[in-house]
Amino acid sequence: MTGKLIKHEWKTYSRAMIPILLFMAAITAAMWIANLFADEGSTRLAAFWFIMYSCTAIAVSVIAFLRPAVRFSKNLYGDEGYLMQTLPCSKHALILSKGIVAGLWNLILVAALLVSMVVSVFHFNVISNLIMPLYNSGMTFGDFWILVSEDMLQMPVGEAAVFTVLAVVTWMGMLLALLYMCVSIGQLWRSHTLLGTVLALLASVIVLVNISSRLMYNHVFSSAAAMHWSDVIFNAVVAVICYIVTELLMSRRLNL
Amino acid sequence: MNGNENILTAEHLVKSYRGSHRAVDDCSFVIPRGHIVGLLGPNGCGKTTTIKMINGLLRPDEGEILIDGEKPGIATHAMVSYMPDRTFLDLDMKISSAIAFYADVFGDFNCGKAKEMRSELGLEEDAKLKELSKGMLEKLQLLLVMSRDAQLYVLDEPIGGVDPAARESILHSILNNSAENAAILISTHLIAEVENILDDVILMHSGHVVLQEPAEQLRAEKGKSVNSYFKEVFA
Repeated sequence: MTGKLIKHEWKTYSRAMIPILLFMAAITAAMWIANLFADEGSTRLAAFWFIMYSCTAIAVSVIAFLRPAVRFSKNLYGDEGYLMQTLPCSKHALILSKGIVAGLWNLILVAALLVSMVVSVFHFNVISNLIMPLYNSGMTFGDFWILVSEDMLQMPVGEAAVFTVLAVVTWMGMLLALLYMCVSIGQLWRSHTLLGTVLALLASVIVLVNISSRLMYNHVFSSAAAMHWSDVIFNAVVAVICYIVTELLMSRRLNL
Repeated sequence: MNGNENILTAEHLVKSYRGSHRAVDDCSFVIPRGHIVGLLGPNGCGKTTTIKMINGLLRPDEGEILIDGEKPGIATHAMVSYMPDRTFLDLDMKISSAIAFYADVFGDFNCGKAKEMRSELGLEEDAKLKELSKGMLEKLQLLLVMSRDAQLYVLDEPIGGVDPAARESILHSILNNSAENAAILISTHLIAEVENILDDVILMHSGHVVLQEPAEQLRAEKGKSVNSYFKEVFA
């Protein structure tokens, strides 16, 4: 059943997200063209498109943050919940299907945003000034990755690759689970759902920041790598706790 | 399926809101297999709260509901086809997507019946739900619910939001499209409109089940229609 829910959730999510991606692509193209004109001395057009691009990037970031929460609330705790909460499936299936699709789409949006930044801001001259010297020095992507792993992360290359994937997955999972938990807490107050959600989110963020900073300052890590891995573990634990609370609230305190 | 003659038993149900207000107060009733049962009463008497408890959307503070021997949950969701008193579909969908969703998630969904009902009701496959009138949307929701071969259909105010002309066609659809030997629970405040199709009536008032009797027996005992009796006693 989870697979079927993921299929339908993906279709619904795509209907909203594809136009956003296309719009971002159009703005990026306009920004890139404007940068070409900027090289020839015309800066007003470039400035206008830079502002447009910045606003689009901010809007996309906000959508990536808010859309999962809005979709979760509307589809499971709004009128659509009268259908979704009476499907012959577990609450786990409902939550996981939403989380998996939202997580994948958020990764797509972030990747698209990064690519658009590179394309729109770094035009030919900058690319040739920055990238070509590295290329001419003989540095490959592998050399670059070794530099990042050993100098920044202070881990062997293989461990750094695993770390990067887990860091992204646990961070995304923690963010989504936290949002879902706050929406589930908010629905306990039918007449003040949004206020309840926002207050729950504020309280959660304050608690998490407090706990993570105490852990960081009170714990002496044996190495920089251990410190990085502790972030991953912290995010994973928070994600699991938020997920459990969400599932319990949905199973026992549903308030449609 | 257990051998019990009742598909649903509800015993001593209690549900309070905000601690003190008892929306449902010590209600007990049964729904016999194959019967059309009316859950009747004025607005605010506890019908929708009771129906939500039947469908697992609310947990009773006290009491128990058993549907074919099971408490409300995944197993009962597979045997109960529920139509709430509001629009429960994503309005950005097309009619074809809504039917495809139901066919995918409900194992007892009868695609042939859905196709027949769709052309009877004049619903275009590619129409978007947001473009449908209120009446057409209600009919689509009824199509989806009645196209399941369920053991129990629970319909909350199926004729409440439609014009008098459409009410008869909706009731006709309900009678003609339910699965054989299935029970139907119709909750409504429009008692006069539905009483002639009911086998049994459950009258609710102020959170209590006042009586449960076969409709014919009630009319014979009181010498008047169920609607008239209700108005007389509870107005």
